Amino acid sequence: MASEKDLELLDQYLASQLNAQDKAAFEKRLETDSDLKNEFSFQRKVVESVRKARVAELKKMLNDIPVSSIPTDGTSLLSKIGLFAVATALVGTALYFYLNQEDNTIIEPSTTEVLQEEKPAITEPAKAEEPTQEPGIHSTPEASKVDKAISTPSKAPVAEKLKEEPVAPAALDVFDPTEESTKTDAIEAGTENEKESRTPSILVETIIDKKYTFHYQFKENKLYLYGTFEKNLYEIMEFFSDNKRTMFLFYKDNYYLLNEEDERVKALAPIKDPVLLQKLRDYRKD
Amino acid sequence: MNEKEIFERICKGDEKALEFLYQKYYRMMTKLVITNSGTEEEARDVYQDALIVFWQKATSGNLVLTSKMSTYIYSICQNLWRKELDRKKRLSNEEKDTAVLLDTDSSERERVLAKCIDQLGETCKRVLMLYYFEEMSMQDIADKLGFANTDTAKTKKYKCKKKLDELVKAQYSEQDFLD
Repeated sequence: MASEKDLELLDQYLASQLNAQDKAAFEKRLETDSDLKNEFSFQRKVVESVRKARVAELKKMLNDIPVSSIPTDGTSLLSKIGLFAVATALVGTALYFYLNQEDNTIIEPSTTEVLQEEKPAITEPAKAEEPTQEPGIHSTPEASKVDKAISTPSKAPVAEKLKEEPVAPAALDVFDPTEESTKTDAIEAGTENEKESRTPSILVETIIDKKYTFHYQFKENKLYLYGTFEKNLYEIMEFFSDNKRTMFLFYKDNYYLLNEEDERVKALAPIKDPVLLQKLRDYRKD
Repeated sequence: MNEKEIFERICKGDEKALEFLYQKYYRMMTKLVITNSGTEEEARDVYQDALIVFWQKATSGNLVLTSKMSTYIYSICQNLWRKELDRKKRLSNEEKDTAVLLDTDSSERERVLAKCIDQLGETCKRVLMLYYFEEMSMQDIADKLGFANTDTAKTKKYKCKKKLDELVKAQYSEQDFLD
């Protein structure tokens, strides 16, 4: 049976309150004192569960924060040029087929050829803009230590996560976040270069309504989204060509064409055309 | 809020500052995962986990920033996503079945432990979480929860922990927790 003093030390050890010297001494005792070791095994799991509960609480809190992934900044000028080039194809296909079909879906196979011809204009300039290495990327923040209480998307066992694995690290495409955050800061300070700013051309507002549960409406140059959008992610994608605008909504892995032709409230119907879907997906990843 | 102010507020455990930070860098951080074979959901998970790592280090007083917060959080995202990709790669091999089997016992125990924590009062939960997760000092806990002094905080923490231990032991014997 561990003494009261030992239990106090154990508690401080688990809460990372011991200095290096006391910590080392305590770890040494753990190796020889079986009672203390048993108590440690129990207490460690209880404390871990408290940490996990806190992580779950924080994650829930973050999940409830409305986040719009509307790209308001950080998009390269070159990718925008590419975007303008592809806009003609998108306007000419998506809008045309949408407006000419009663069921509001786009299933015209001829879009394939037109869109594929334009593809290089989207991808190449965007990649050229991004640096391939981030400054300070090699300095690993001590994520692994705190990692103990974090659940990964795949619910990997904690012990496995803490282990240093002899697997070759996966190569990641990275960009310099400092550059992007500098841009964000500059926008906030109102000093952003006009060419680089990307203010959405329309205001978006979400409305919870009993009658309209998944609808949209354009009114007085404003887009109203009816439904519980705030709790989830949505993204408005705008394409411009010849002073015409085509807009799409991305929401829960589906894309929706937003028809601006009148001010009626319209139901949101997911786009089904695989070619157009692929193009929209490709664009979002750029 | 400027960078310094956000960081100071986070160090003090201000959740509003965390919310602000989450929104501020959302797109920047999730882009990393999405452009590296991840889904929107995985990107959100990784970013949230990275932000929680950052939060824990900041509140525990163990973080001295030598770069911008965004750079620091971004590199945590990179590490977490790299680990996840490696894990997926390993799971695609023969380890898959073993991992699932090993998980069953511990997840049942975790579920029971979580239930015990839920049975504690709100103040008890707060005290234990601030002490064991945020790793705050007794003085900071007393200030945050409005206790008269550090002794009150210490006593409260002691009683709450004892209560949790009893709840857990009522469900399990200590033998069940041996490694």
